[in-house]
Amino acid sequence: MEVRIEDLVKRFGDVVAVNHVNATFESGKLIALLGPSGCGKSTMLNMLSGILPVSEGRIYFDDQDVTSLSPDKREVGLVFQNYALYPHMTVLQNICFPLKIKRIPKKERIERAKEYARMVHIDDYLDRLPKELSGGQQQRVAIARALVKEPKLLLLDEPLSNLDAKLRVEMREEIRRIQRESGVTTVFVTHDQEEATSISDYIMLMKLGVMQQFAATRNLYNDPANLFVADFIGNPTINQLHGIYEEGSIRADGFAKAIPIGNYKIEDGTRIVFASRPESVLVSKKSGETEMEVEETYISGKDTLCVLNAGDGFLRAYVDNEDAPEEKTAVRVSFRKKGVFVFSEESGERYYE
Amino acid sequence: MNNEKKHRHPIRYDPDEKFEISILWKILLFLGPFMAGILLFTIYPFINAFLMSFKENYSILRDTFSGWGLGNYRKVLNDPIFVSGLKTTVKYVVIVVPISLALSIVIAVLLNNAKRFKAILQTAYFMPLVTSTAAISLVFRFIFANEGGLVNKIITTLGQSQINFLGTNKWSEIVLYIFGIWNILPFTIILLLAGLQNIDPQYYTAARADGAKTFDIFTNITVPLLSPTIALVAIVNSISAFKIFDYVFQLYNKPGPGYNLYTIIYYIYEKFGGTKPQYGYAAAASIVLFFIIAVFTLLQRVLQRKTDY
Amino acid sequence: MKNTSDKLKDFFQYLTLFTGAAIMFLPFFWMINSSFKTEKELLSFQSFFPKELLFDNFRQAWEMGDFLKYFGNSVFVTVVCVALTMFVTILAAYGFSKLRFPGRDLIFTVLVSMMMIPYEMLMLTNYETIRHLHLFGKIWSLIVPFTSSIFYTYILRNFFLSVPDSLYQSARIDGASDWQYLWEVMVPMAKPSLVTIALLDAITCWNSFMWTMLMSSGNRNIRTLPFGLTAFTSEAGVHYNLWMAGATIVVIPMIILFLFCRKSIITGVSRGGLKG
Repeated sequence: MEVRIEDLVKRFGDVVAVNHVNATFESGKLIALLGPSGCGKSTMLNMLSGILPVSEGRIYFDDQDVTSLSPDKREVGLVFQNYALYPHMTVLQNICFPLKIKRIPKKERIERAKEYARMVHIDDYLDRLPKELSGGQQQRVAIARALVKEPKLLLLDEPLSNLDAKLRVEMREEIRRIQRESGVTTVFVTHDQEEATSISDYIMLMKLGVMQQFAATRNLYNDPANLFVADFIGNPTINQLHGIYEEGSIRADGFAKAIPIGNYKIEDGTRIVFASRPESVLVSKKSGETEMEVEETYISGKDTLCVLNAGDGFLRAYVDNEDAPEEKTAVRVSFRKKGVFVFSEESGERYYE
Repeated sequence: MNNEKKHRHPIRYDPDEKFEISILWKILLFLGPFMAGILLFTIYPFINAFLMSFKENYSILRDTFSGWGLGNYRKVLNDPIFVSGLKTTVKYVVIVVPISLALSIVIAVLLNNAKRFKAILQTAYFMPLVTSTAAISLVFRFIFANEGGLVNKIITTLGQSQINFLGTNKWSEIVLYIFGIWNILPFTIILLLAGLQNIDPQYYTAARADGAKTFDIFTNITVPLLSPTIALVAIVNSISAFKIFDYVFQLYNKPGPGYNLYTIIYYIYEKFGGTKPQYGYAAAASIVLFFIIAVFTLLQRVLQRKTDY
Repeated sequence: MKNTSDKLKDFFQYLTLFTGAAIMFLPFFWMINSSFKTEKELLSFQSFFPKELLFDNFRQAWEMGDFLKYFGNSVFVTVVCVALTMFVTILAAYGFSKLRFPGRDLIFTVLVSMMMIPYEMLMLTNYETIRHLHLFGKIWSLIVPFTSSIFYTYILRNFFLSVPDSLYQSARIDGASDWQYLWEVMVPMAKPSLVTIALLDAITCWNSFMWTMLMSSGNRNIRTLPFGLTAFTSEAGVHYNLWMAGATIVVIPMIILFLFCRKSIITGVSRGGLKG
């Protein structure tokens, strides 16, 4: 099912939690709502589920306007951060509950519940109570319970934040697998960019209620719409040099020489932020437009991380261990075309070539 | 009680939430039966008692009264029978509450330490909680009886002369106190036990490490740390002791052998149900009682707030 | 290892406890012990224990005192009163914890403060109300005024408030109505609290005395056991053997309840209920 959001607004008193958001979620895709806490992503999810009424705008499921439909009529499944399993019911009873409410005959109910229990790999624990399960297992039960009524839309609210690090990686792959298998359009909320980028098809990145960018996950990394997006996505974070644009170069604050960055449609003298992914910074002993001093080096696996002194700021770059320069020596630096962006310092907006 | 966790969930209203008609039906469905009972049997009679107490020469049969005023209060507060009833009640409170508290503290501390025989001890101490005082009062009457009474049998066996426990003013009062203490002990012990269980055991460990003896620990650690609970229990027990009536009635079928155990509530009942009902007086007396209890309740609230750390 | 002084301390501790326990238990023991004795045996103190287990007192009291009727009334009043109270309390606790409407918490605070009103103050008017409702002298007069309990609602509401809202939202999304959510999810979860409340209420109903006395003044057929017993003693005269048998009949059901549910009852009482 396709989900269309039109000009969605949510106010809590004077606070605008979600500010005029427009988007279309393609059918069958896994969409991440990403952003720091307080960005409105959970509010958005709750409006999709119908728990929260909207202030303005409309929500469509395919062509049906569901904006004022109550949660029980929207045919969505929701997995809560704390899983919200009924503590007095066994795993099987929990999964059966939505079907019981729908008055589906007991035999069919159990059959379907077992089918979904198998899908989420919890079928060995059907008679356990939630408190006898690990966090990851509870998560699986919650997902099965949300899926068993075959919703048109599956919503997951910070599904992994209550799990420990190792389990988190395992479970996010599981969510991916289950989503693929069931084919249901899925929206999940997270504050962890790595989590979002590793499993989602699309990411909607939000900040203070405003949608920053909504794009295919790869594009968000390779083609950020603004400085916030570029900064939020990617680990390690993107290099940022502040300075003045001048004829295809940046005069970085506190750095003597102009660094060539290519021609952008910017007036000379504008303050900009020059952002570069660490893997797009090329370090060499001989060739390269700019000379910089190596401040520190760290070995991390097969690469060495070099921290380059660029005036008031730093650049981080990866070099093969064999080619690693000495600390406190000069190297020559140039940039790839890919993974290098220029933003307005004032507004954070992106400048294009 | 004081150990109960305070849940505070202020409801925030979402301005976008539509106040639908269906919520009114829900309120009616869920709260209707309860509120009907409360309105009819608590709120209405409460207000009515207030109104009645200000009606002069009120007659319930004809539902007439000669005017509004403080006449009932003047009559009640100047009535020597009411004043002596108040005195008897206060005396009962002042004797029964401290004695039962002192006994309860000792028993609660010992029970808290006891590791063995828990079930049997609890059963013996707490059984009075569930038993009808109307039935047990008969047992007390029998135990303290002249003919065949256990206590008098013991006394005479020891060579003393028999005591007329139930027929004399002095002794009937004492039997009432014993019955009152016996009845309130389990409740008091349970509350104190709950208070004791809230004391962090590391205080005891620390004190023992400092070389404190059992008795020192009791006076220097247990009692001070338990004092908020003790104060609360004292108030709760005082409130219930102020309402003393049924023990007297059940033991003697009248306000004591020589009208000596006439309490506030006895007064209310007599003015209300006696041969010559005077509802106005009964209402005024009940409101005097209400205010006494209200003062104690406020005291309890203040204490509870202070000790909620 | 325990040294001698510790052992001595232990000994005195248990000695004190058991002495106290014996005194507390004495009335029960003496009641049951005496209920098996003949009147002669009882007055003469020939032996401490009854010579033989004599059920004659029970038979006699049972027949003379109309205890069968009182017993039936007690069971009826207790069962119906507890059932109705539970139903009303469950609905009210839900309404005051999970329904959203303006003034909800304020209204409840006011209700809680009304717990301090002494019942004696309300009795006057309630007596008249029962007459106006044409319930006077009917067994329902012992039930109807007591089905709304602020105290029990307060206990249950506290439990309901501690249940996370996500459970409610989850159930809503699954299509459950408030009614279904209450009975399918909340009530099964609240079982321990509900048991406690039911026990406290059962004890209170069974032992209710003053109101029953007042209400049954118009009709002796609605007497329940406690007042029935009191009435029996004044009708039968002073025969302690019969008194003790009657008292045993009244007390035994609650003692059995206590023996089975000791822990729940103690928990309930420690929350401030009953005889407080």
